[in-house]
Amino acid sequence: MNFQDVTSAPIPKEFLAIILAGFGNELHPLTGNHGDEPCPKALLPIANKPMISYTLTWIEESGIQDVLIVCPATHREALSNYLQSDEFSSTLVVNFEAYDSNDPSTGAMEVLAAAAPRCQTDFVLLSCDFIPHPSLPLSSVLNEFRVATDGALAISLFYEASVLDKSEEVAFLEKPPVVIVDPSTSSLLHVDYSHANEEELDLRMSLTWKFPRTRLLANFTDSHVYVCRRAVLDLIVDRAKGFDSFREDFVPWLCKLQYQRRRREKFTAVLSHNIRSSPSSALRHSTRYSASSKRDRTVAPTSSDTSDDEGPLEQTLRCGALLHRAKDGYVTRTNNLYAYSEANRRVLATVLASAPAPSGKPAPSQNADSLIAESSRVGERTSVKKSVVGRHCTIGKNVKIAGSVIGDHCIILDGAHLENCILSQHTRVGEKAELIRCQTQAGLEVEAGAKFKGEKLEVDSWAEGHGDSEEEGSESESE
Amino acid sequence: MSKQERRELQEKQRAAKEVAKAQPAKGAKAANKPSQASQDNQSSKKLSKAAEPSTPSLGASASAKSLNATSASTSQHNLTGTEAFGLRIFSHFGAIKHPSGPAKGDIHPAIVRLGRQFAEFAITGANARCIATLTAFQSVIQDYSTPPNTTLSRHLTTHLSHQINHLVGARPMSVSMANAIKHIKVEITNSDIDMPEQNAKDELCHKIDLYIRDRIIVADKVIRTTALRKIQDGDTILTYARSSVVEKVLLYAHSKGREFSVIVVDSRPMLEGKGLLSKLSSAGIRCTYILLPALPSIIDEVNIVFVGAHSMLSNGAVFSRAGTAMVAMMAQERSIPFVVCCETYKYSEGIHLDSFTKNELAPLSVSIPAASSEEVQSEPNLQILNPLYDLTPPTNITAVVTEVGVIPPSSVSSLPFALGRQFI
Repeated sequence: MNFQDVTSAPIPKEFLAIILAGFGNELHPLTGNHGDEPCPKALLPIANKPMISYTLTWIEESGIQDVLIVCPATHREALSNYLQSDEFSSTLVVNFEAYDSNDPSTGAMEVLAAAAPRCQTDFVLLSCDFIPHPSLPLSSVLNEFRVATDGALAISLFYEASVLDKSEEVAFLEKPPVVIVDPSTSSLLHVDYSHANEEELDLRMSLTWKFPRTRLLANFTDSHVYVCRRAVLDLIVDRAKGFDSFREDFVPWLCKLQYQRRRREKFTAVLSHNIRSSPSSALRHSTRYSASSKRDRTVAPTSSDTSDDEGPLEQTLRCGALLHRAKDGYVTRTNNLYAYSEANRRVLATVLASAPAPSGKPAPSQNADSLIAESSRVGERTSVKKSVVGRHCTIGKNVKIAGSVIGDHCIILDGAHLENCILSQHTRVGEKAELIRCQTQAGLEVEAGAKFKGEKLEVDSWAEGHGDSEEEGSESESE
Repeated sequence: MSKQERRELQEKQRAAKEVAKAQPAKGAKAANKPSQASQDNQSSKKLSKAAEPSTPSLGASASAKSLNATSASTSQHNLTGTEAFGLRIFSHFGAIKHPSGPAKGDIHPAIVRLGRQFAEFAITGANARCIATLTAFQSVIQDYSTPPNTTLSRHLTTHLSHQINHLVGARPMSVSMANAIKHIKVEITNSDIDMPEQNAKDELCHKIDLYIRDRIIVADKVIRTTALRKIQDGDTILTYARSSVVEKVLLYAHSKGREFSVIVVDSRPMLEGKGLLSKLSSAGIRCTYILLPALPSIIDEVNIVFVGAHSMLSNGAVFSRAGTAMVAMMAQERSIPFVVCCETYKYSEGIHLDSFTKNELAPLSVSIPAASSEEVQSEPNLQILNPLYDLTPPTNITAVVTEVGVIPPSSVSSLPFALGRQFI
C-alpha cells in the first residue's frame, strides 16, 4: 500500500488470465530444442513478433491486468526473459506456474488442477497460440460473461474455420468438431470430437426436451478461449483424474450439466459453494426477466407468497458460446504447421497494409510484400517475396525466397532457393540449396546443394552424418 | 419581384440557413458529447491509445475505426449529417453511447458487471435496478478499505461517486437509484468515526438491507394488501407493460381467492408484457394480451386500471413506461379508475410538464432484433428513435396507492411531510 497516496483503495480483480503455453507437439520441428535450449511454442514468431505477444496484447486491451502463464519448467526461463526484455512492454502483471513435466503429452487438466490454488477470481483460460483480430476484442467475450444474469458457468469462443486449400497437409489436420448450440440463449449444448467424420451422432433425450430448437454447426473450431467462473476450477480439480484434455474432454462434459439432471444435482453443491451473491432479488423485480420454468416438466409453481421473495433463483449453469464468423476477420489457433504459416501470411498482409513505408532504403529486388527486419542484410539480386525475415539474418546473393518464414539469426548463402519454408532460428542454409515446403529445427545446417521437398528437417538426423540430398525426413506428420 | 418569387427566395435562404446551422450544430454536438459523460470519451481515448501498441494484432491501422464499426450490440454512433438530423428531436439526451472498451480507472468488478448489465438491458425496471445497484454497493463497501489520513465517513462517499459515474455512463440513473444513493450517502456521513472499520462497513451493509426491505419489499407487501381492497370479484383489470408492483398485486389477489381477469397491454420495443403474461397465466389467472393500438376496442370492458411507475413528480404526475399516458387518457375519458401503484421512495422533487424534457432513448440492440440490425444500421436515411418513458398528467390519475395509503395525485407533494422527513 502506498503511504503517501490518499486516494488509493485496492479494488479486487475481476479476472485472471491463464495462458497455457505448452510444448507445441504439432509444430515440431519448430519447437525442437536448439542444442540444449528449448524453443517454446509461445515464442515462435509470427510476422517477427512472438506468438505470445499477440495474446498478451489482446488481454491487456481488454483491461485484465493479471496473467498467469502455465508452462513447462524448462521453458520458463526463456519466456520470462522475453517478457522482461525491451521488445515487450506492457502493464500486465505476469506470474509463472511451471509444471515439472518433460512429457509433451501432459494434459491441460492436470496442469490446471495444479495451478488452481493460485486463482481466486473468475478466470479467462487461453492458449498462447490464439491470434485474435481487432474485430474481436476480448472485452466482448468478457461482456458476454458479465451480462449473463442467469448464472452462466463459462463462455467459450468458437471461430469459423476459413476455407482451406486442398493440399495434402490439410488432410491430416483435425476436422472441426460437431457443435450444437441453442441460438436463442447462445448456449453450447454439445461438442463432439470423436464423431466429426462420421454420419451419425448420439444425443441425449434430455437435451432435446430442454432445448427443442437447436442448431448444428460443423465448421466451427474451438478457439480455446474460455471465460469461466471460479467454481469451474473446483470442477477441474475434481475431474482432473479422469480427463486429460480440457478442450476435448472437459468442455463437452461441462455442457452436459445444463440438461443432465443427475449430474447437476451431484455438482450443484460444488458449484453453489463459490457463487458470488447473484442478483436474484433484483432479477425477480426486473421487467425483462422471465424464468425459464416453462421448460421444466414439473408441477406448476405454487403460491407466489412464499417462494418468490426468498432464496436464490435457479441457475442455468449454462455454457455460452460466442461465434465468430470468418467474414468478420481472421482469427486462428496456430497449433499446427499449416495454421502457423497461414497466420504468418495473413498477419504479414495486414502489417504491410498498415505500415506502408518501411524505414530504410528498400533493398534491391525486394518486393513490398515482405517483412524484413532492420538488422538483417539481404544481398544483391535476391528476391524475397511474401516472406517474413527475422532479425540479424544474413541472406546472400541470388537467393530466391518465396512465401517463407525465416527465423532470427539465419544464414542463407548465395544461390539458395526457398519456397514455402519455415526456418527456425539459427538455421544455416548452404549455397545453392533448395528447400521446398520444408520446416527446420533451430540450429540446423543444410548442406550446400541439398534438395529437400516437403520434409521436416531435424538436427538429430544430421548428427548421424548422412550427407545425401535424398535424406528422409523425420517421422510422419500426424502425431 | 412578385410575391411568389420573394416567397421562393425566402424559402431558399431559409433552407440554406438550416444547412449551415446543421454543420455547426454537428460540431456543437460533437463538442456536446464530451460534456455528456466524460467517462465515455476517456474510454474512447483509451481505445485509441490502446490501438497504438496493438500493431502486432491483425489490421492495426483501422483498428480504432473497426472497433467502432462492429458488434451489433454495442456500437458507437458517429454523428454524421443525417444522424444529426434525426437526433434533433431528442438531441438534448445526446447520442446513445456505449463504452465498449475496458472500464477506466479502478472500478469494482461488481460495478463493471452491473454497468454491462444495464447497458445491455439485462436488468430493467426501477425496482430491479435499484436493488441491483444497492446489492453491488454492498460488495463495494465490503471490499473497501479506508486509505490512511482520512476517515470512512469522508472518503467512502467519493469512492462510491466514482463507481456511480461509471454506472451513469452505462445507462442514465433512474430516480429510484438516485434516491437510494442519496440515502446511503447520508448514512455514510452519519456513521460513527470511532467505530472500527469492519463494524462500520457491516453497519452500512445492514442499513442497505434495511432500506431494500423497508422501502421496497415491505412497501410492496403493504401496497398489495391495500390494492386488494380495490379489486372485486368479477373485475376486469387492465395493466400496461410490466410493473413488479402490479405483478405482485395481481398474484396476491389471486392467491387470496379473488376472481378476476387481466388484460395485459403491451408495446414495442421492449415487449415486457410478455413476461407478465407468462407469469400470470402460469399462476392460473385468466389473461388477455393486446398491443397498445388495440386498446380503444377493448377498453369498454375494463373495470379498473393498475399501472406501476418509474417515479412520481411533485405535481402528482407520473413518469413511467412510454404508452402509459395514452392508457390513462383513454381510461379517464370513459371514467374508468386509473390507479398507480408506487412506493414512496420513487418520489422525485422535480416537476416536468411534458415527456420531452427528460427521457431516455432505447439503444438499437433493444429497438431492433439482432437479425435485421445490420441492414437497418446501414440505412443512411433511417433514424430509429424509441423514447422509453412518458409523463401522465395528474388529471388523468384517479389515485396513487403507496405504502402510506391511497392518496389523490394532488397530495403527492405532501408525502415527505407526511413521512416526517425533509426529503423522501
